[in-house]
Amino acid sequence: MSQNKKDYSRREFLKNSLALAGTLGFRSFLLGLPPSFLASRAMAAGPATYLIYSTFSEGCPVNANVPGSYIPGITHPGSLNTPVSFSLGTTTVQGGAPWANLPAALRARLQFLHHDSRTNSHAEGENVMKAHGAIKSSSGNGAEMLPSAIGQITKSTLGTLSDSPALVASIGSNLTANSIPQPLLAPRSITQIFPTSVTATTTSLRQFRDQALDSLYRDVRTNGTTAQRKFMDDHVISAQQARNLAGEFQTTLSGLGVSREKDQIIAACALIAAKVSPSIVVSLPFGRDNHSASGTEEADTIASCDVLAFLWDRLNSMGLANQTTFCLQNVFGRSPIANAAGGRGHWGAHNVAVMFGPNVKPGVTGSVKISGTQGYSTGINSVTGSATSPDVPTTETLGAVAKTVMKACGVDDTTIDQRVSLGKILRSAVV
Amino acid sequence: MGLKKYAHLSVVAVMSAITLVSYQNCAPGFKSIDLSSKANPTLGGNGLISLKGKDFLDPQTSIALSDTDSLLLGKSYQLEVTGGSQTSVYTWRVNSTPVGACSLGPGTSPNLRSVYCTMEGSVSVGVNVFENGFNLGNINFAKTVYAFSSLSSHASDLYQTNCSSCHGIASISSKRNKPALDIFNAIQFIPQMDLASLDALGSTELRLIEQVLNAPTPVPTATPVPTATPVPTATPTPVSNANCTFNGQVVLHTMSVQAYPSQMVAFGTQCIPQTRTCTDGILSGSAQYSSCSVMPAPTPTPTPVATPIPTGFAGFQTVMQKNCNTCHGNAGSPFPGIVNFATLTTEAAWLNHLPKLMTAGNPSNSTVYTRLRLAGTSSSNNMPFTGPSLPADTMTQAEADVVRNYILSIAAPTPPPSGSNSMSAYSGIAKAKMVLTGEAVTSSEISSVISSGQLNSTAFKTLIDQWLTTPASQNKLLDFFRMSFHQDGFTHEATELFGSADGQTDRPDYKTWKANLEDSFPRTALDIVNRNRPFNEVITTRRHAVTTAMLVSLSYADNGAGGAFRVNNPGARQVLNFLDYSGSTIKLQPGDYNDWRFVNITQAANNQSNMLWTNLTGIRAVPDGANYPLSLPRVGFFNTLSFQMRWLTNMDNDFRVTTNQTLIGAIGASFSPADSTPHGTLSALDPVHAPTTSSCFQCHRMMDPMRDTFRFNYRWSYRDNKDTNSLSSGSSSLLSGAPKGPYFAFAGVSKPLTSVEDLAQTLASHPLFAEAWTQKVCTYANSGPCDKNDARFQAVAASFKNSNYNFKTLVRELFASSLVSGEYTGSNGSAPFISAARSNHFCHAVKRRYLQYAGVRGFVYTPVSICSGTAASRSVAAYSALPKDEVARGMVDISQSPSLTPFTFAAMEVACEEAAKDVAGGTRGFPAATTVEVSQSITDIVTYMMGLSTSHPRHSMAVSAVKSVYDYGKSAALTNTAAMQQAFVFACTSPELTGVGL
Repeated sequence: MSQNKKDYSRREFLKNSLALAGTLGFRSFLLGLPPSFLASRAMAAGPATYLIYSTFSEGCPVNANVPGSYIPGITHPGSLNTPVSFSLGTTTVQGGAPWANLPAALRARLQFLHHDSRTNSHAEGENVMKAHGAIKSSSGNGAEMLPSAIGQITKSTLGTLSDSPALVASIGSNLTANSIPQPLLAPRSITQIFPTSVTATTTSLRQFRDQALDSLYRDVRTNGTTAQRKFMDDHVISAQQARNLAGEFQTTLSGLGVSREKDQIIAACALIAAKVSPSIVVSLPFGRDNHSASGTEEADTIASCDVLAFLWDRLNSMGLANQTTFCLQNVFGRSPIANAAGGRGHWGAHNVAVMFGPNVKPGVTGSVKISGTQGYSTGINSVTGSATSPDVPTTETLGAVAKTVMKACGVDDTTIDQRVSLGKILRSAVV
Repeated sequence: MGLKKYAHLSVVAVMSAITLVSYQNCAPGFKSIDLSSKANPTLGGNGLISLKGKDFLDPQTSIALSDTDSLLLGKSYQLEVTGGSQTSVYTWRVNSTPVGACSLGPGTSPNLRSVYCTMEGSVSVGVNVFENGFNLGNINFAKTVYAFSSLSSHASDLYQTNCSSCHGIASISSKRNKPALDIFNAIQFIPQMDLASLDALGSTELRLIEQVLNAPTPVPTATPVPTATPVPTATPTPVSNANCTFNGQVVLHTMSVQAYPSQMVAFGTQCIPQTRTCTDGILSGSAQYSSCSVMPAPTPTPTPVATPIPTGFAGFQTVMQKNCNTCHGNAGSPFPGIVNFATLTTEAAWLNHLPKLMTAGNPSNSTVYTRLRLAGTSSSNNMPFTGPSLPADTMTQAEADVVRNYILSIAAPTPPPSGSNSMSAYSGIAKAKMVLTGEAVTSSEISSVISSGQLNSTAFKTLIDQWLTTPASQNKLLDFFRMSFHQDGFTHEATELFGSADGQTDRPDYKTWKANLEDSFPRTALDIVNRNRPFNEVITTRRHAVTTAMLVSLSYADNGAGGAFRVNNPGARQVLNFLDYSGSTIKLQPGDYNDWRFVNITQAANNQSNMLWTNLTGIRAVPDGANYPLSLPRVGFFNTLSFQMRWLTNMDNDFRVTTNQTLIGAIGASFSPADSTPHGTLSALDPVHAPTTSSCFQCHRMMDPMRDTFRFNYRWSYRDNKDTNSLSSGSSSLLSGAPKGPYFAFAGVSKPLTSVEDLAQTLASHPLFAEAWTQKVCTYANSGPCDKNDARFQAVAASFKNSNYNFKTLVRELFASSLVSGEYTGSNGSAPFISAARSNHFCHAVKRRYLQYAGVRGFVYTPVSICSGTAASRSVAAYSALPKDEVARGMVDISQSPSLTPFTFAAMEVACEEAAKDVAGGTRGFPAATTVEVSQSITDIVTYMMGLSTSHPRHSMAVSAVKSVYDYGKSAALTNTAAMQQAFVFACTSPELTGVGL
């Protein structure tokens, strides 16, 4: 009974806090921080950044055409076979033309992380996002996925509604937070469920419904099981969050309908602007599951680099470029040396994560070398990023990538080491 | 005046006397009305129109006057217009000639107004109804009305008789300016006024008393100074003492009336009266309305404001503290008997004083509201008090409304029934029925399984068995099987199987064809369940539910002469050209997608299908139960077209995905390096892909030989490996080749394989089967995997196995188990998890519950806007935003999103709002035209949509809550229909539907 009373009081406190300070109050109660603190610019000026995380369980040959992969023996289809020299900040590299065509300002914070994801099955996407269990949950028990772990750490700083990642594209596997699968939010549905304008009458009616519902289920909250009380809390909070999000997307979703990929970008930026979640998960193709032929590898690379440029423009136009880190990390790379049919097999032994953001140092970290008939990731010198004198063995490079992405998102070193048990922060890739 | 004479003239008599018959020709003081079209004629297609004779205080009451109704002289009557958004202009007419305007009463909203008319003479009544400036038409719904006057001495008589003894004469009454509503409330709630004579006063009488109390105070006439000798004038000039009229009332010369420029002003503003004085027939001023009211206060919008007033209890508490605690918030409260508000720090503390301080859901009977100055009950006793030692009264209307709304939102708490497990049993039953059928639990079902708050397990199992036979449950099982057997969600990339579908997937016939493929095996599985066959036949069965379209597709993919046809007719390579191939006879017709029957797909003796896919006539004639020989082994769920198109393979993958997904679908398990089952021959192992020295070997030693089984029959394209006709060049690369060493080694079973059928038999007899399907169903029910080591889980799995894998037994034992719905003790932490309802449950339940309700109430309508509709509809958008249960590659468990998010809730809300437009408040359900209908619909919404039957402990509370939503909608100027839609949305977004297991 005392437990019930405690829950009841807490719940009322949350509601009171919400009601007292409007939107800020809502965020306040979620954060446990006073609204005035949230309202201060000091809060928003922290180092934490949002994360837009792209992953695809088909596993794309993005690893084959990026800077660092233009070494003898590696296959590149079509126009990608002609490398182009371009700058990543002050460093000149060679890579596929679509990468060279990215805006210089983006390239000035663009990093390619060659690593070994130790995967060969499509179903292992979850393992990659968990760095094979090296990324620990907030309690230290069990594993957490990278975008979820980052969200749990940066939420309080960013002041978002939720710490769980928002999934705006099918990634071919589960995206979990605290082991709970996250729902897919179709970008184009957002405008329908959150119309650009809600009349005062509608708002009033919805609020009254919320009040009536709150009253009706008072007995469940006080006499229900733990699960019932938890669900009712979730219900009330979700409804209130929905109310607070009404009108948040009036302008930020403009342009939807261009393409599946750009829709994701638009949605991701809109969700960031609305402070919904610290991390948004998208899925950009760079050649897909191309076993039997090069297939769409060239076209996808061109198109998805165009999407990255689109993202860059969008972030800048919304004033989010300095608050957002992008990371692309797929379940595996694909065999750098194509097979007889011109296609590529699953190849976790060489995978590449692509990252850009305000805390990202431009360049190439890690490398690939040909051994026998195929290309393999090397160990990494975490300071220089080269394969010389590596202090991160190949088997730990996936964990190192996870740590580095965390660092790029503004997570402090101590927390990173607490949450990721494998590898080192690749200092060559972050400022 | 002797006015209450209830005789009436017959319609015929009145008709014959129309237009020329003055009211004096009728019995004096008696008026009659003929409503030949009394059945609520349609108003411009947008609403209903009706006459009301009384009960304006209860706008939900619509009492249509009948031929035999009478209007009484001396009373005013009102015309009520509901529906649409009529703005004004109601005219009484005599033979199409307007005889006077009617005035709009305050009503409760612009759409629900009282109309007061005064006239003399025999008239026909017509109403011009305008909506947003457009004349919707003149509806002549009353052919004859005898005139009546609106206000007469009858009103004064009423006051004198009923009120004056306590409140003095009208002109100096202590209740001057009181509105009828306050009079009504006073009669209802003030003990001293609990008199039969007062109770008998109808709304019309109360309105008349209101008019008396609000009539201008007569200006005292100066005592005439007597003159001794009047000076006669030579030619007396007639003194002009012309009176005025104002809204049908006579305003005497020199007298004044209070008028208003607007009849209704926005919330937060005030009605500004204007005194209009009659001088010699000319009324000063221009305000044209005799009454004015302030729009009901909406709950403050969430638009960020500097200091928003919180709502709910938080707001109530804030308002009370600010405005009341100066006097009531200390131990030495100067008001004996009043609780010290400062001690009421929680909502529960306030609710402990419910009868004294407030009445749940009834502000009018709540002291903390009625005593407020801004509650509309102006009185010298109203609060907050002001005075030299007291702070200024700064209470705002918005604050008063917060108090009012909070009281409205309180549902009268009903103590839980006795029995510690009482709520548990209700929750368990509701959850089981939600998952199994989506429908609402009925009172009879509750009474059949719950006794003294305890669940009768035996009766519950019987109930579950009954549910499983219902169409709702069968539909739900189809959905479950579609997902569990990986039959849904394929994207058309099987270009080697059916050619490219580029640009064709939006074709209606393509969608129908795809649905055929996806539905085929679920129907097959359901047939196995319904025939009480061992459920492991889902892996081995060759009896399939098919349509003509399905058979055409199966033959098309099979070996045989048809293959040559494909190659020799390039046009036929395109996917689905068999749907509308212009070649001649092979165009499928709509009926070919709907002629479901069962056939036994036998192994063709000559490895060639006997029936060409082009033989439409022959295929259509294949009867139910016939054999249908094919070359490819269409065995069980994992050799269906939809399974194969979902799990495409290729030369690298080489049937590994096929194998893994087959294991997952059949026995809920995947390869693991921890599995120490000894392998057999490794001749099928790919030494490059998985060298014996690699970590991959532990799984591939089992996987590679097992997947080799598919080489007996298939190419990587899942076409027949004996068909030498290829749809594309490079056919050799599409051949998987002959089996190298098929072998089954998995989870303790190790044996060589000889065919795909052998693989099926091996899986069907695998010891994991019972546990796997117990887990699949348990996961579906609980929105997450169950603990296989739990004794209850093991008991259910054992029951399933011992029943020879009877699926109904599995469902019955599992859902009756406390694992899913048996006991919600909540004390030992074992209470089942409560999840958000994904679209699989939510949409199905909303639709099924509406249909359940419609069936009971006799509505014949299939809702179209529940999670469906046109592609661009909000309903479809909402559906797409709802999480769905689904399977993903390599994942053993169903992917479920059990948490409510703001997006999930918003999507559900939109889905409900759209559905409400379709099924609530109108002719399709939950009607709201009359008080009786409103009351019944509210009860029905609770009973069916929320699933809280009258036997449920939450029923009465829910009825109050839904009613409060309806009432609030009315107070926010909604029509009855729109208010009922709000009630529907409330139920639809309640945890009874948004969640599973509450």
